[in-house]
Parts: sequence; C-alpha cells; structure tokens
Amino acid sequence: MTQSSDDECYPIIVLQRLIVFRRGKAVYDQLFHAGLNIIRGQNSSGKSTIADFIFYVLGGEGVAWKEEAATCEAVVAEVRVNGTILTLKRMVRPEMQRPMSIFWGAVSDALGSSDSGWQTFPYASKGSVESFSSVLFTALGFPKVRGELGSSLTMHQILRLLYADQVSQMGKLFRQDQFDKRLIREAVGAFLLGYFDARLYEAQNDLAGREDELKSIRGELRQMIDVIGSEDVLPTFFAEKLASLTDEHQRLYREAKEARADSSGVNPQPGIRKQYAAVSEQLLEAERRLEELEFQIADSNSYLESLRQQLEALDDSIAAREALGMISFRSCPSCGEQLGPPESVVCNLCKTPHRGATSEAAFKRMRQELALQIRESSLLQESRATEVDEIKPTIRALRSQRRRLDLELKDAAEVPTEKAVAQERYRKIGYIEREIEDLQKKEKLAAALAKLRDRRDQLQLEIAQLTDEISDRTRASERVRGEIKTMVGVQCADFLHNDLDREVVFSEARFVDFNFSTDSMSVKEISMFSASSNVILKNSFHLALLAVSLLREDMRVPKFLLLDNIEDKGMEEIRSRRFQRQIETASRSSKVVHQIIFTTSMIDPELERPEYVIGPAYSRANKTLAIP
Amino acid sequence: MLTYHRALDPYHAAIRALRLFTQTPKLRLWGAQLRILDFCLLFPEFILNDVRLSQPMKAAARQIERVDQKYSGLSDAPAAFSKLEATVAQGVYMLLSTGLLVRDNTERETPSFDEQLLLRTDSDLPARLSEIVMSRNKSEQRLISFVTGELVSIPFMGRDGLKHRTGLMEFRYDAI
Repeated sequence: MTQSSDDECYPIIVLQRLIVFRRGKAVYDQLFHAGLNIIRGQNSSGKSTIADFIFYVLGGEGVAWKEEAATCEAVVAEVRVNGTILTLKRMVRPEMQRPMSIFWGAVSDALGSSDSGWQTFPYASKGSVESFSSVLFTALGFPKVRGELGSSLTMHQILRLLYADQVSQMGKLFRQDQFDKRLIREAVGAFLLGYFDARLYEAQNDLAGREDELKSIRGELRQMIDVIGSEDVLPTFFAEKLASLTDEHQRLYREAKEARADSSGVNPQPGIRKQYAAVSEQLLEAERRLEELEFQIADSNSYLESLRQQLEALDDSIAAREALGMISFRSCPSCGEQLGPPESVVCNLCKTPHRGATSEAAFKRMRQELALQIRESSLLQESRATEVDEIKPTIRALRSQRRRLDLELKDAAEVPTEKAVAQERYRKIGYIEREIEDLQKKEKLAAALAKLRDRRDQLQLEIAQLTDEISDRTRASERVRGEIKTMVGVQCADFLHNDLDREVVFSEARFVDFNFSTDSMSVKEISMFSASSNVILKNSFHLALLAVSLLREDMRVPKFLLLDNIEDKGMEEIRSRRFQRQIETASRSSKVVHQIIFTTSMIDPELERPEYVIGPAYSRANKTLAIP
Repeated sequence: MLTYHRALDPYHAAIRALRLFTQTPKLRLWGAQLRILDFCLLFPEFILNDVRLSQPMKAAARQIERVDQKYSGLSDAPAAFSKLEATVAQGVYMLLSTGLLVRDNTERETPSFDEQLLLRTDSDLPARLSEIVMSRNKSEQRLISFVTGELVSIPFMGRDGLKHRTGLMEFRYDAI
C-alpha cells in the first residue's frame, strides 16, 4: 500500500459522477465527492434504485431491476481509483455477468469519444483476455492472486461487503449472492481486512504441487527399483556386464561361421524312413485281414448253427415218420371212412405199391447233403481259426518292429553334425542378443533412476522449506487477523454504545463478534434483535470496518461504503438521526480520503447541507430517475 | 440237390403240433390259431420283433430260446405264413387220421381247416415220438411255455386279438 500524500492512503474508490441513460437521454446525472454523500427523499422515490446503479456500475451482480430502472439502457460513472480517473460504463440488462467498458479519463472526454478510447472487458477472464475485475484490481494496487481463488475474487465479491443493501437478510455481513460460497467469503474477508497473505496462499499451492510430484516420483522409483534391484545400482555396473557379453557374442559368431563352412552332413534318415513305411504297410494289411477273418468266423457260426438246427429237425422228422407210419391210418383223411388193416406191399392210404422206400431214401439223401454242408462249413471255420492264430503273432511282431524304427528315427535326428554345431551356436547367439538388449534397457533405467532420485531429494528439501514458511506465515496472518478483528469489533461496539438506549445488550457490549465464514455477527452471543436494532447493528459493522480501515495501512478496504437506507420503516426518527450523526462524526474526524454514500427517508436536519446532500429531496412526484 | 427245410416238412409240422398239445393237454385250438402258434414255434424271432406285446410279455419274450437267430430265412412273414398253410394242415390231418387229435365241431359239414376246433385225444404217443416231443419241449422250455401260455391267453379274434397283433391274418370282419 503506497501513500501519495498525507491524506491519501490507497486503495481508494471515490465516485465522482453518476449518469443513467434512457433512450439516449440522461435521466439521472449527479456529482458526488469524497467524504459524506446523502441521497434523501420519501419512500419509494427511487433512492434504492440509485444505490443499485452505483453497485452495478462498479461491477456488482444480481440486481433485480425494477420497472422503471429496467427501461434504462446504460449507466456511466466517473470514478477515482487510487490516483487514476476512470469512466466506467455498463449496459443495463437482466442477464448475469455482463461486461464493463472502461475509458481512461473523465466522463466528459469519454462521452465525446464515441467508441474509440473505450475498451470492453468481460466479466471473467478468458485465456489472455483480462476481466474488468482484474483491470480495476490493478488500478487499486491489489496483488495478483493466482489460481481458482484468484478468478473467484471479483469486484462483485468485494462490493458485497461494501454495500449494505435492504434486500439482504438481517444479520448477514455480505450482500446476498446466488453463488455464495463460504470459502469465497472467507477469502474476501481475509483479503480486504489485510490478513490475506498472497504468498501464503501461493506457498500452500506450491506445497500441494510438490507433494503430488514427490508422490508420483516415489511411485516411479519403486517400479524402477523392482526392475533393477536397488536404488544404489550404478549405470557403470551394467556397462561392465555389457562389455563381457559383447565379447562372447563375437566369439560365438566366429565359431558359427567356421562350423557352417565345413559342414558335409550325411543324413542316415532316408533308409530308416523307407523301412518304416514298408513295415507300416504290412501291419495295416495284416490288421485288415484279421478283421475280415473275424467277421467271417462270426458269420459262419450263425450259419452253422442254423444248419445244425435243420439237421436236428430232419432227424426228428425221420423218426416221426417211422413212428406215425407204425400207427397207420385208420380212417381216410379225405372222406373219413374207415380203412382196412395195413398191407405191407402197398401204401395203406392210396394203395400205391411201395417202390422201395423212395421217400425215405429222399429224406436220407437230404440228410446226407445237410451233414456234408455242415462238415464243409466246419472245416472252413477251422482253417480260418488257424489263420487267425498265425496272423496275431505276426501283427505283434510288426508292431514292435515299427516301434523300434520309430525310436531309431528319433535318435537319428539328434546326432549332432557340423550343421547341428552351427545351429547350436546360433541358438546361443540369439540368447545372448536378448540378454544384451535387456542389459541396455537396465542401463538406461539406472541412469533415469539416478536422476529421479536426485529430484526426489531436492523436492524433499523444498517441501521442508515450504512447510516452515507456511507455518510462519500462517502464524503471522493469524496474529494480524486477531488484531484487526478486535479493532473492528471494539469500534463497532463503540457505535452501539452511542445508539439510543433501546437494547441493553448494545450498551453493555464491549466487543462485537463477526465471522466471514458463517456470514454472521453477534453481540454477547446474541444475533437476532428487533428489526430496527438489526439495522443499527449491521450498519454499525460496516461503518466500523470503514473507520478502522482509515487507521490502518495494511487493510485493503477501498475506503468506500454504500448504505441503502439507514433506517427500516419502523425505526424511530430520533434513533436514525442519531446514527446519521455518528456517521458524520466518523467521517469528519478522519483526514484520510474516503467516501460514504447513504440513503435515508428521514434526514437529520443538521445534515441537510449542500456539502452533503446529492440532488434534491426526492418524492413520489419527483423521483430520482426523471422518466416522463 | 435237395435242401431240407423243416418248415416245408409235414412230419415236422405234426411234431410241432404234438408239442403244443403235449405241453398243455387240455388245449383247444382253432385251426387258424394253431397255424399262428406253430409259426411262432418255427420262427421265435418273429415273436420278439413283430408281435405287438405288452411290456411284461415283451420282457418274458426276450428270454426265449433262439430269439436272436439270423439264418432262419424269414424275410416276409405274412407271405411265409400263407406258404406254410398246406404243410401245417397236412401234418394236422395226419394226426387226425391217426386218432391222436380230434375235431370238435362236426356239426358243420365241411369246415375249412382254419374253422376246425382241435383237441388232443387220450391215445398215447409211440415211445420214440413221445421221446422226441418231450425232449424238444424240454430244450426249448421257455419258448413252448410262452407260446402255449402267453400267446394262447391272448384272445384270438377281433381288435387287439392274436390275429391283429401278429398281422398274419385278417381280423376286421371277425364277429365276436
């Protein structure tokens, strides 16, 4: 924080002129000044609208434009930021995150300048394009905050603490916000109050980054050590091994070349192969014959069996014939008439003379035929059985012969010849080449490992240093925070003591506690009071914040305060006036340049002076925005 | 060259008929019935392969002797059956003529062979013949008892009768 003169302690924001345009015409145009500015008028005369316009043109978000305000197209403000005069312009729109246009100069020059000389900045930084918050922060002399926090720290967030509006809930320190976050509030509070240490924040980020790097390096080292064996293996170790392997490689190569040169290679295999083929064929033939024989034998057996059965039947038949013949026919089968006693020379039935047992003979001959067939078949079976008995051992012999030849073939393949010697060498060469490749990889790995190890040691050192720095700075930051909080708390309590005696707690309080994290404040542990008391409490806090910032050089509050409605609708006029006079006293008693703007519907007559009031006393008939 | 086949030998047919009546003396058989039973004695494999039997009978049939023989020469059962008719009838007539069998329905003038009702008389068999009959029945015990037991128990005529189940004769016009 630099000082340009005794009265000025940066950062400073002083609004100098505010113009609201509607359809090309200015419907509001007033000059403001450092120190106390009062906008007064009846209720619903548009005072809050003006406060909103101020908030908006400086970079605030989330204004719900009322009817008439919404018909306006732009708001322009000439401001002094530290030592620079700037003109700011923003189009009036319901959408969020509208950009801001900035002109480096006074408004009179700006408005005559059409578009050149104006630069438009977006709400949020995009790549290399700066946001308007960033530009204004530079003008305010704020340090750059990196990272996510930096992009969250905007003019809007700062103004939330500098603008005590009517809309926000009682008991809150910050103006309400759609995307309110505890961390942002903490950061804004810390930043403005001056105990935010940008270096601490940076150091914390650095530490996190280094710790991550260390973790991943440790992981990589572990993997490398798994492959190589130990952390301390030197690359030279591998180099030695490589040298000896390379020598052996060359030796083997030489030997292989020599061996190949005088290879003649008599191959004993063709002879064995021919034999093997012949034996296989014989074996196959014998097995086929055996199968054939066995089938025929089985088949013949069935046939023989049926022949034997026929023979048996025939024998039975012959016997039956004789037996029945003995009984002799008593009656004629045809007519049933009784027959006479049998005669031997003729057939008893048909009287045909016997021709010497011809039918019997026929039977006997048939029997002989059958017996012959049986005998022939049996003999055939016997010869087949004999052949089977001979073939079986032959097959066994052929099988073992083939097995023997098979083994011979296998053996022959293993006898090393000159060619085989060469092949052996080549095999070893291949093996060695793989080993060499492996060692080369390990050598490279060992080198990389050494580098990583060094980096790791370095990181550990840096981390230790950062940790120390962080704890030192955290301690310092906490100390400052404590100091400032106490000062603000005590100052706030002072203001409460001067309040009209409406709250016992107020008069007894020695200290007002406030918390950015929870966005709350309390007096002697009590947070909720009557509506009017709450207004007094809230406004006292904001006033105290400003008052203390006028005393300390290390705070970053831009010495600007915007209070919309000193009183709520139910507040006693006396009480409001008393508070107004407190503000005036606080402002008057400081030599340091600052600006306080407040609106009221019951101005203290003593303060209704030209050096304080801005514009006329507004009414419903004569509103702030001169809209026809 | 003459080839002997017992199926075409009337004397063997007579032996087979005697075997049936010796196994079950009180047996009364229609001629047609006897022909069918005789066919089963000749070709036991026919019983297992072609006759529709209940499960228990089928199980018993599997135990029959010669039920799996291959060279019986039987290809077309109904054709063979009709070819054998004359021989079987001849064998039975011999037995009738010699008084070993008798027919029981002489009220009809000239019944066909199939319509005759046959039964065994009291006259004894000649010793040699008796030997043969008993011996064959003994060596084919299960076959003969199946034929004279199970097959005879099946009603001969009409639907699901023995004629129907063997497929050897027309049964649809039987008046039962």
